[in-house]
Amino acid sequence: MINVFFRKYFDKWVTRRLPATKQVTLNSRNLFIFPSKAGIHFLISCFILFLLGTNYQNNLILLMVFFLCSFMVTCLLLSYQNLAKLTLTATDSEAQFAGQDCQFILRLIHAKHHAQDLTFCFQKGQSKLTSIVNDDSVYLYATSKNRGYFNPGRITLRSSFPFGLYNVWTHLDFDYQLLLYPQPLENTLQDLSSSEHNVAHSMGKSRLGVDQFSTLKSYQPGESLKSVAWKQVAQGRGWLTKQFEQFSGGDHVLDISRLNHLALETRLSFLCYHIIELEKKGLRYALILPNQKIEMGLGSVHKKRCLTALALFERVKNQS
Amino acid sequence: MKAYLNRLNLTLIIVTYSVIVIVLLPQLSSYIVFIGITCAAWRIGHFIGRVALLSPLLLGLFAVAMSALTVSIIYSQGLFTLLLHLVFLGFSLKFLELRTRRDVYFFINTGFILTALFFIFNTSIGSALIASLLLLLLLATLLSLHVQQLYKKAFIKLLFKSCLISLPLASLLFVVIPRLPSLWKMPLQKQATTGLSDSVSPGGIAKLSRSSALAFRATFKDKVVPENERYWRAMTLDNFDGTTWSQSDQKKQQESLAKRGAGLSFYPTQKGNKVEYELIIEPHYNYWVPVLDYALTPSGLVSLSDYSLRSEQPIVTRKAFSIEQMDSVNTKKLTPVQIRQLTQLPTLNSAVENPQTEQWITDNLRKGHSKEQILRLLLARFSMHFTYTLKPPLLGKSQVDDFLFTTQAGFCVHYASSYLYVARRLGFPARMVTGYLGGEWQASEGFFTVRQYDAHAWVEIWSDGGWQRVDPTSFVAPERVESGLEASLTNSNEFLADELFSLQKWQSVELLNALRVRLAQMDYLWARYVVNFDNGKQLRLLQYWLAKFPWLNITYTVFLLMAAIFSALLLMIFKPWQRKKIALEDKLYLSLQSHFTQQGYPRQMGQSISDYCALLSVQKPSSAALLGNFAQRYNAIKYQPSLSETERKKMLRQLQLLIKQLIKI
Repeated sequence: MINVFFRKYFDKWVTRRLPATKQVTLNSRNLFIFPSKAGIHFLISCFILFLLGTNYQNNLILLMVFFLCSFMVTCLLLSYQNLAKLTLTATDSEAQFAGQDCQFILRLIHAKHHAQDLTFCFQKGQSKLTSIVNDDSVYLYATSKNRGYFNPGRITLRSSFPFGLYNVWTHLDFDYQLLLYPQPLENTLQDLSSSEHNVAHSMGKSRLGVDQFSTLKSYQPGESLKSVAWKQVAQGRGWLTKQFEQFSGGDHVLDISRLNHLALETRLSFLCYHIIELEKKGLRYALILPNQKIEMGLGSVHKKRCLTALALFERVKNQS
Repeated sequence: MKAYLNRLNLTLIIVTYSVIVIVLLPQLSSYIVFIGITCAAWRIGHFIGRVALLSPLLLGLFAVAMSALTVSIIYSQGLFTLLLHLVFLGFSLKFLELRTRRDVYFFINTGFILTALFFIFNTSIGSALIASLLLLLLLATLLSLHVQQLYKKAFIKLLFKSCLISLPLASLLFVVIPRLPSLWKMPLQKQATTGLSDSVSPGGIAKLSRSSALAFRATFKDKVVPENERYWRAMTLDNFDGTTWSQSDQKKQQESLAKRGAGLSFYPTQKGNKVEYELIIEPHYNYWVPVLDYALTPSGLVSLSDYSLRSEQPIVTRKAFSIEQMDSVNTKKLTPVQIRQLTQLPTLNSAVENPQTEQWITDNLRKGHSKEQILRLLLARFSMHFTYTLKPPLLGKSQVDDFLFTTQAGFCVHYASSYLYVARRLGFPARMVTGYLGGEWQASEGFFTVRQYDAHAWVEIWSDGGWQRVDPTSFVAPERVESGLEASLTNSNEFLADELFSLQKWQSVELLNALRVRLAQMDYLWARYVVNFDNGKQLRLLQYWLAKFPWLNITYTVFLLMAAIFSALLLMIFKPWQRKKIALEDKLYLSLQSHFTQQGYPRQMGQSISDYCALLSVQKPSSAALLGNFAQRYNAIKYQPSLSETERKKMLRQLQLLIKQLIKI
């Protein structure tokens, strides 16, 4: 209970102290330093040594104690120096599907010296993948089962360099808002897209493609030489290109209201699956949501629009 | 966190462990050294990949068994030794089971404590160097845990850098922090005492005489006491059983009282010259402090009735004492009990009687010689027929007879013993004094080194209401008194025959001698200024520095020091020299912004000054012209390279005026 209270208080304080930014340079304002467990052990043994030295009136032991104590102070400075002036920049990440590991990339700009012994982790949304720390970038992974905007919380950057006597850490908020699409769930198309729609919109429609030869067309500069009808060229009928045709299975209207008997998230997951599948097959599709209608279309921009609509359906921003 | 240890960690750990075992070797019993070596071998075997580590359960059982065994074996040797052995055992077993970082932390901290225990036995500069190597190794191990990617060079650089940075603060703390008195009494190691023992039978000192180990060092403040007067008295022996001189019960009682701090104190008298000197005594695990006649009692020490000094604690580390010496003291008359003790001899007709000596004395008395004359005759005999040697022939039961009439060769104890025998036989109260004689002058540093081979025994006789020193050895080998042991031996092979590698033996080789002297000096300085740096020295040092600045006193200094440290910290944190300098035009622009922000028109991120001023002009048409002018002049100052210095200044003044007008509106 008290713990929770303090946690809350601490979080508030951290939010005030370390507001969200896209780029941060570490300095004494945003770094925290405290002796680590090893450091406390070290201090305890210093104390024991001090008792030994005092009780045996042995100056050399005392000298050693003083040395170890000032060594502790040196380590404090060195451990601060290690992280200070390190600049971290958040880069935008690709939208991802819920339940999958999302990659977040931080760019590192070191000061004169290289910061050593860095470990990164998210406070929330721990992924099974460990973060990868390179010279100039860090790859962090987080995961969430919920669609919508995902904020994996603050990044904890920690280092115990150089002697492990101090933990230097900071909780950085890069204000990540990563769009998570619903988790795709495999299912059949039957329930979703109505056949009459299908028929009405797709009968006899065909689009240019690669499946079947349909006609010859005069050559336009820039067209692939592979599609030039060389036979006709040889016959002296001029430069012609072969046109192929692809029959589409018909346009699909993905309507969420057709699945009303299922839970919302499942419905969205089903729709998500179909959008991916239809996109793969190269079929056109439209999406109908209660509050939104996306026209028939195809292509990655269209797909993104549809998936975003699914991800944000009945979701307020900033919910993770 | 990485739980497993890499190759560098393990290598460093094994090296550290081995060094600690080697360093502590003399203090550890052979059985525990065996365990240590086994542990090291096992670990190396594991490192190479030959053996597996013990399972925790097995190791636990092993640890319990070993501790029990250690306690049972070592218990009799005293608490301190037991403690040392148990710490070492724990250290070894931890070494054997090191798996994770936590284990290594434990290992390293125990290593620190063992290093400190090493300092209890050894305080010379050499051992300090060894210990610093040990510390360095321990810290390197610690570093290796946390630094994975550094190259060897960077690793070593970082290690030395952090150590060197720590040194100034460490030395400052060492000088400034006051030393506390012992918080509680700690168990001391039961160690065989070295140097003089409390009983001598002729033959006992022979071995000691050949050790070049340092006994103590002495620095005279102004006047140096001449060589033939440098009799360093440690203790007196007044009981003789025919073969051995030892302390009488009376004396022993005094000694045991002295250990509790009870004893006499001699204070300076008006007459006589005072000589001051400082002693730095090497640990001998005994209570005596060798002093010249007659030492006043310094604080912390007690005097015995025979003018020798005793420390209340056995001297287990190198200790420094400041001593004042007087030419003479007021003596009290001897009591009959004392006289009886001081003329005591084994009863006649016992197994150890010396008939020839008795005969010689009676003959001389019959010839009409006085008692004093007989003693002089004896000394004359010594100088004529006797020889000085460190390898005397063995003496039979009638020790004095054998020596005086048969072998006629020996060293100080032989002469002192037989002289005493005759003196007591004649009825003079007399006693044997043991201690050291002479000392080697270290010219460049101005101190004497007295070594174990300078140990000596002489005689004191009570006559004319005072104690007179007689050194029978000086009649046999005056050069022993004048110029040290080496000179007195006709056969120079006898000198330090046991110590092949002692630098002392090779004094004739110029370079080696120089090296030896240099080492001795370093060690002396180390002992004097580091090992024995106490509160008194601390205060003196501070006063010395303060005396240079008469306007300072200690309180101010402390305040000043703290203020200096505090301001240095402030400077380091805020780094005023790194603060961005804001140009005047920018300052004006910022004040413009803050003015309009207050009115509800903040500048948006990425908005240029022209855009911002245009926006403001729309909102505040009355100041549109001013704003336009401002933006134009600002841009000119910032971005127009052809602007001359005078134009620039003019424009800045205009900007200032504009701002004033704008803010007024």
